[in-house]
Amino acid sequence: MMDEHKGIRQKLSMLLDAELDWRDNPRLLDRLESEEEFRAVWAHYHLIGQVIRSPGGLLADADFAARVSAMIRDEPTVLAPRQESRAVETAGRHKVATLAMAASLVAVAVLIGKSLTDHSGDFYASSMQSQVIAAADSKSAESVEKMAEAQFNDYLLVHNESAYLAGSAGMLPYVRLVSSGPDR
Amino acid sequence: MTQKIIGKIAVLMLICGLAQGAENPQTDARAWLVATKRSMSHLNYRGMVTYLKDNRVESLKVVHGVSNGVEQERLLSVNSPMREVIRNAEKVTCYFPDSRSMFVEYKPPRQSFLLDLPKDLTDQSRHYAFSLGGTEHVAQRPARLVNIQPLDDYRYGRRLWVDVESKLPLKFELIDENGQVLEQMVFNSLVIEDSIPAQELAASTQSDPSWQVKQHETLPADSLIWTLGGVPDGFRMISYSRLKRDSENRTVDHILLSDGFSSVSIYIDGLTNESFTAQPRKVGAINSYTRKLDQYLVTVMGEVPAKTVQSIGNGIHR
Repeated sequence: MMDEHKGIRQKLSMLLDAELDWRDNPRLLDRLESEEEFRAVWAHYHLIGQVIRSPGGLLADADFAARVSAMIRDEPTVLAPRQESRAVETAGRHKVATLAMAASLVAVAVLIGKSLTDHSGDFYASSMQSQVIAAADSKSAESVEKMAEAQFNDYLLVHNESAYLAGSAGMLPYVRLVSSGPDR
Repeated sequence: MTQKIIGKIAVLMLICGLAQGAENPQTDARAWLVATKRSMSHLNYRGMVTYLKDNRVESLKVVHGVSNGVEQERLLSVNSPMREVIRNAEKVTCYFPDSRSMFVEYKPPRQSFLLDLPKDLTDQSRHYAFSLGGTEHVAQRPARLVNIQPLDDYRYGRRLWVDVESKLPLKFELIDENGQVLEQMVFNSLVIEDSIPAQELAASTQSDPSWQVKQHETLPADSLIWTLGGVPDGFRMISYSRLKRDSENRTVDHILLSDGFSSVSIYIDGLTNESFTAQPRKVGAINSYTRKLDQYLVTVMGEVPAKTVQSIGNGIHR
C-alpha cells in the first residue's frame, strides 16, 4: 500500500511536469477526483511547481512563515471526515497530509527566501524558528488527535459493554463487544 | 354431549383466535418477537455466527444453556484478537487477553423497568411498526421474516429471521434511514440440544491476578445532575454510572438510554482539551456527536441516526 502511494505520487508529479499524458492514465484521474488525499498531494505539487517556475520566485516576507504556523496552531482538530465512514487511519493520514503540506509551504518559503537573500541572517533565523514552531505544532496537533481517538474508543467500548442492559432486540448484544474492543 | 360442547367451544376459540390474528397482523409479528425472546433465554443451543460490519467479517462461536433455571451463555471469537464473553445468570465477564484485561458487570436489580419488558411490546409499538414477511432458509432451516420499521426518523429499522421450529433468531439486520444494511449477524450453523455440558459454557481464557479488572459503578437515578432535554419519545434512562479514569483523577458520567431496541450512551467528561472541536462521526452502525458544555465535554453515541445523537447532545444541560 505504501509503495502504491509512492508510485501514485510519482505519477502525479510526472503528470504535472507533462512527462505523462492524462489520456494514458484515466484511472489516475478518477482516483484524483475521488480521493481527498491525492487531491491534497496534487495541490501541493502544483504549488511547488508554480514557485519553482515563477521568474522571481515567491518572495516570502518575514511574516509569512509565522502566519502559516499561527494558522496551523489555530486550526481546530477535526476528529472525523465529514461524509462516509472511512477508517480512522484515513482521517489521520489526511490530517497529517494537510499539516505536512502546510509545513512544506513554510519550508518552500524559507528556501526561496534564503536563495534570494542569502546574506540576510535575520530573515533566515526567524524563518528557521517558524519552521521549528510549525514542526512542533504539527506534533502537538497529532498527539491531541491521538488522545481524542483513544477517548472515543474508550467510550465506544463502554457503550458496547452496556449493550445487554439496554435489552436491544439485536440478536446477540455481546457480539459487538467480542468483535470490537480496546485494540480496534 | 359434553364432548360436543367442548368441541364447539374449541371451534369457537379457534375462530376467535384466527379472527384476532386477521384483524391485527401487528399482533402476529409481535407474538413472533416475544416467542423469540423466550426461546433465546430458555433453549440450549450452540452455533457459529458470522458478524458483518464496516466490510469486516467476524466469526464467533455461541453456546447457550439453561440448567436449574440458571441461564448461561458464552461467546468466543474464533480469530485473533481472541475475545470471550461469559454470562452466568446475573454476572457478565468479558475477557480481552491481548490487553490482559477483563470487564465484570452485574445485571441491575429487578426494579429496572427495562429488563421487565412488557410482554407484548406495547410501548415499542408507538415507535415501531411490526410486520411479518415471507419464509426463507437460513442455516438450512426455514425462517420467517419479521420486519421492525421505525415510525419516525430518530430510529433505525431491523429485520429478524426467526426459525420456524424453535423461534430462535437466525439472522438479524440493522437498517439505516436509506435502507442500507449497517450490521448483520447470521447463524451459519445451529444445533439445538436438550442440554449443554458445563465445560462448554466455562471460560477458555486463562486469566491471572495481573490482569486489569474493569468495573462500572452504577449510581441511583436521582443523583443525576444533568437534565436531558432533547431525547426523542420512547427513550428511557437505563443506567447512570460514573467511570473513573486513572490519569488526573478524571471522572466521566455515563448515562445509558434505550427505547427497547436501540441504545444511546451519553458521556459527560470533565477532561477538556482546549483545541477540541469535534464533528459528528459515524463508526459502522454507531453515530456520535460531541459538544462542549461549560467545562465539560459531552459525547453522545448510539445505533441511531445522526439526527438523534445531535438532538440529545444539544438538549443536555445542568
